[in-house]
Amino acid sequence: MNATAQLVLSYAMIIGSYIGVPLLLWAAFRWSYRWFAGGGRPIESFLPHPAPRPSRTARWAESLLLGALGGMALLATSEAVQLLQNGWEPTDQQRDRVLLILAAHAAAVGVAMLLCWWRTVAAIMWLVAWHVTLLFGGEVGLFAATRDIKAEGDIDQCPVIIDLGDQTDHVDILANGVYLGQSPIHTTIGALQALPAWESAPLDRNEDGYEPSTWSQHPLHVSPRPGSGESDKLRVFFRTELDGTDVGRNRGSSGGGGTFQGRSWYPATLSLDVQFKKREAVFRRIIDHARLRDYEVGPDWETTVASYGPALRNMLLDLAEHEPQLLGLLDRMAAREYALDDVKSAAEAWQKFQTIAAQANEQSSYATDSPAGRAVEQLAKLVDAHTVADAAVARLRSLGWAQVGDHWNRSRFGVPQFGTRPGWKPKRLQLQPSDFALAHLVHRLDRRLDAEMPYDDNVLEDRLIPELARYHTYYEISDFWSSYLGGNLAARLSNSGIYASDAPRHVPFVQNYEASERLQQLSKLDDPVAKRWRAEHSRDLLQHAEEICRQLRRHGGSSELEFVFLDDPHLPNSLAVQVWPFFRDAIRRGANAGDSHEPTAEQWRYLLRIEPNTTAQMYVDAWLVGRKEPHFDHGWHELIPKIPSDKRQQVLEQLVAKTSERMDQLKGQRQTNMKHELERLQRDLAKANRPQRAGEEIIDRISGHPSDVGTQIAIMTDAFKADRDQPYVQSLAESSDEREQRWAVAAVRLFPTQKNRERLNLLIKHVHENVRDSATQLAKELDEIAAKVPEPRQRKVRKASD
Amino acid sequence: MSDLCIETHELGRMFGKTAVLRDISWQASAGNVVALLGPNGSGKTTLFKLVRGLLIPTSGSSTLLGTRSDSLPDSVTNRVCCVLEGCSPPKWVTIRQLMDLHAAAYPQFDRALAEELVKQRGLPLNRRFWTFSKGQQRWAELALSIASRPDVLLLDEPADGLDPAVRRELYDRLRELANERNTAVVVASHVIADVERIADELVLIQHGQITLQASLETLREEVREIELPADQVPLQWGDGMRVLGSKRATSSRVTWVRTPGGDVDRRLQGCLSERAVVRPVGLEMLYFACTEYAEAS
Amino acid sequence: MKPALLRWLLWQTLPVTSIAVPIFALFVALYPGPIFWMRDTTLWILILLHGYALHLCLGRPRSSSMAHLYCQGFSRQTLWRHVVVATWLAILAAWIPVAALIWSPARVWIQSNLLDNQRFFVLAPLERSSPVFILIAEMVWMAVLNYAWVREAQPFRGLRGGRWLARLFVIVALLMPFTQWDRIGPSWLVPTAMACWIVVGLIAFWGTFRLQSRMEVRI
Repeated sequence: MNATAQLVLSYAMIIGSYIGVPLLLWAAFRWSYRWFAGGGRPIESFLPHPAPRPSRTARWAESLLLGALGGMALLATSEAVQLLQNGWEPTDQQRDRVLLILAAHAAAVGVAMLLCWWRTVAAIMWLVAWHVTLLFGGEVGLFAATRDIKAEGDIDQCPVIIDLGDQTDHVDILANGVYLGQSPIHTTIGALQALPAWESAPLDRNEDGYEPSTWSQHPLHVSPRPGSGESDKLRVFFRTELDGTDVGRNRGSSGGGGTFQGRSWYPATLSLDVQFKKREAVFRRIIDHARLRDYEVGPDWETTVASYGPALRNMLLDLAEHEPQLLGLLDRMAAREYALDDVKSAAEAWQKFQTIAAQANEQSSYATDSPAGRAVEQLAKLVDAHTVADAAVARLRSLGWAQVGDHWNRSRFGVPQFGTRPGWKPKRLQLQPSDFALAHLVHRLDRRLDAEMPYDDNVLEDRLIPELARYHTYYEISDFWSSYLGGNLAARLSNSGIYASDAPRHVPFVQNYEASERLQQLSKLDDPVAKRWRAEHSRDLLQHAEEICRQLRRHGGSSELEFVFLDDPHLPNSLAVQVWPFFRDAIRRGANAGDSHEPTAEQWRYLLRIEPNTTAQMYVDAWLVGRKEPHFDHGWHELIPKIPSDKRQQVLEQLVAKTSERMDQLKGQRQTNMKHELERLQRDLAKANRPQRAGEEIIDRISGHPSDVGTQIAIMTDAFKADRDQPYVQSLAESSDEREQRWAVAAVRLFPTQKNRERLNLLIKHVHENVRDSATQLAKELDEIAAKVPEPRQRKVRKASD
Repeated sequence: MSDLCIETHELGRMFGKTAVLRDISWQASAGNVVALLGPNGSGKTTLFKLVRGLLIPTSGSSTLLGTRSDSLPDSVTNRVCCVLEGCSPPKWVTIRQLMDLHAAAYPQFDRALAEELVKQRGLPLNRRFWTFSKGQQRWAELALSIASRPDVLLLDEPADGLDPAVRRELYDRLRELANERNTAVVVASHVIADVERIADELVLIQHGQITLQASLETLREEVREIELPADQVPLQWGDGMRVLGSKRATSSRVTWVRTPGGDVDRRLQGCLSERAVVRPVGLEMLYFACTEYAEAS
Repeated sequence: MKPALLRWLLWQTLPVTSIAVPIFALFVALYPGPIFWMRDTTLWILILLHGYALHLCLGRPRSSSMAHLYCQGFSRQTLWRHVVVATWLAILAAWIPVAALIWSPARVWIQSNLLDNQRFFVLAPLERSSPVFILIAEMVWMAVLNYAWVREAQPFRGLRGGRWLARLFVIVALLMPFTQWDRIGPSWLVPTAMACWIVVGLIAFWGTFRLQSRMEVRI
């Protein structure tokens, strides 16, 4: 059927379902009424009689009553009204037809109000007929109105959105040699099909010859016909460029869509995951500048940081977890950008927050690590809790139950995409960027209130938890409570004091075990009141944990044990320490049964979390459990550096000895594998023997990735977490070993804090020429970085003809 | 202040296509007892309801104590008592509760009198209404109405169910009320003998229209029953004389004639033969003359 | 106001109130979830039935006891005023124990301790405003029923319009919990619906006030 015929048919369906069917029903009602009123035979006349004067009041009253009742019923029954209420965004063609339906709705109520001046009963019959049609007729007309009229060839118009996932930078995207524009790209399947066909990606050439291609293939699967289950693969090679200088290295992609689902095409999406190495080098320079200036930076630095947008801010925030001075810088930037110094009162703070929320919606973006997010964190110290609670409750109610659980139980709130994707959910039911801002504000404010009054009622908990509970079953909100609010709920739960008599309920992810609902809730609640409760009921919790351990299975269950680490797991008598034997036995049982995935790593992670209440022997015993199938158990290697240095050597010595013994008993490939493992352990042991080796170890790891600054930063960050003052740099610098001194230079390069820069002065005066030269060169380089703030990003928009 | 308590002007009421009352123009004055007579279905109760404002007239108008009946304020309603057929109090009520209600409704309600009237008939004040006989219930209602000391008292078949002694008591009290408190009492009743004892005026309604309206005194003076042999006809009825009704017996013919203008017997003698017997007429016979034996003209 | 008349009218509603109070109290005490006036069909059915029963007690135009009152020495305005106040008091009498259960810790205690409903006290704050909404809903319903009554006692033809309006009201009232519309609607929907209810109540009230002076007492 062609599009015109479909359009005509849809209008016919609208007219039929909104006028014809109610009219028929009305006629049927009238006939029935006359039949019943006539006692089995239709009464003679249904015509009105002229009413005396006082009936004018009745007519007015009934007409208005019918208008109000009809309008209300319409709100409840009309799917068309609900569609628009929910923010459905129709096409022009659909809008015309839906407007026609809405006009029909209004006319129906109007007709009833007019009919009332003739016969009230007739008017009521008309309204009932109309609503019966809407309620039970399934709104055929609406289906016709909202149905996208598409012919088979319209597949070409199916939208495709190409973006860079979490990266919100505008990046040039090329496909099969053709420049598409800057991300996010909104195109169509037809446009991609029209690109020049490439069978393979061309090789890139440089002075030294060829290098890996910067073009990477990302196939799109699309249905050739609406509703068909078939799928065509569209071969497209993409290349990304940042500001015309930095070519993105492909790390993968994700996406999907492009299928027909009844009413409209779902847009196809493609998220490219790429890495811009030049930009990362600039980032590092910018961060080093701040470090070398002991985090005392000027507005130029802030301008530069702001010019690189979320990508740099994300990195700063990651680093700030263990380098809080960076967080202070981000906060200062936010304060300046949003003039937070002028905000003095709760009312001003709330007003400012509303401005930020409105901006977030305008820009379709919000993130806790953005200046806006940092500003919200600062505003949380000032805003009035009742105002925030009112706003949050209102928003929760307007969102309905569907969304809350999905998004509100995160510690970070943000909109990673360029807005929400069209056609996914009704706009009204989608969380808006401002909602993330509000959730963020609620989260920070709750923490503030908990800190101020740990055991008292907190208005946010008081107001929001019932609202959330209203839409959720008990378990669905438990995670939310644990990670988000708690407080008052916990207080009331614990004060009720009857949890022991609760009906048991299945513990998620743990087979064959049921426990009191409230026990489960309270065990997970991250809140001062719950903490106190746990201290008072440690025996019950121990028993609960023991039961969970008893039922642990592969691929799940251990997450339910997280609660044991909530309250000071490092204390000698902590719950985590007490639960360890049960956990260990559970892992052993699992390993013997082939259920445990990484028995050594799992146990070591546990032991690391209860330090210093461990012994070297505990690590060794845990390692031995995983020896049955060592090729499945590798995660523990990464954990060796995290074992406290006083135990690490002892652990490694025993591991080397045990591996050596075992190697002798094996043959062939298994022996070779064991040999490699032994060598690695021996290297680890050698490092562990001398504390200075810590720096060497880091340098070693970094030198394994000579050109990958991102990975270097990650390793650096990891090391930084271990010891912020980096005393090993000092010890390396003071060493008499030239090699170690070189490590010291390299370490300073990696951690160019002001303190390390001073340490470099020692090395500049060193006797070893190599050390001296490299230190001098590094000092010069660092001084340059410290002296000059890197330029802000120069955005370059490529022209289509480039 | 006018003595007129009730006044209707061309009052009419339709129920569907049926005209129950037509062109009722009637007045009742203070201190008078009006007997409202008429056969069943003639429209007496409807007239009461229209006057009391319980129904809205289809045509004409009615006033009660000088105020239109369809918008009576408290200042009028609390001077009007109305005991209608079918408007009896609920069965769960006690006489004391009824008294309280009357006290709230009528500022002049005399509780002592009410108690006296009720106790006189041995009715306990705290017993529920449904424990009383029909006559006792009716007496309680009437007693309270009398004790309310209204300016207008509308009674529809008040004696229904009452024993002769109570009926006598009731009508004595009504007469007393009219005489002493100047109350306009309108009584619709089929017990004509009782009404005749106290009524000042008679209003006869038939088929929704007033067919006779006069004071009882006037009627006694003006109406005569004339019995003639069956084979004899009157010579000629004089000017102003009106035959109300006539009845043919086997050997005689009885005719009821109203002769306004005084000197009735002398004027009648001029029209009748010597064989004619002229007698005064009682109310009951007058009623029959105007209803059962009414002249078609 | 005339206390004796008010007492008289309230006495008439006593049978309904004495039945309604334990039923409502039991319903509220045992109902496991938070009570939402727009959501619970059972609640709506109770409101509608109670209102209709009160209407039968107070506002039956053809009952002899009501006709008796209209024959007494009260003006139409006085009677109407007292009937309205008595209606409200009768509604309050039936729902105040419910409100007391909801607003006091009693309901939470019953649910938590006797019925082992462990989540209820978390949800309890959500129904704090329900008694107010219930009262408004029933007052609106009574206003519509009174309108139907007065309309039916008018001296003109086509008297059943009011009765049909009341039936339409029942349909719309039950439509709300049936479609669960407040769950999916936007935030302004519930306040709008509330406003509509109140408008319906006010219009019915106004209509009744205008028409009652010309109401006929037919037995």
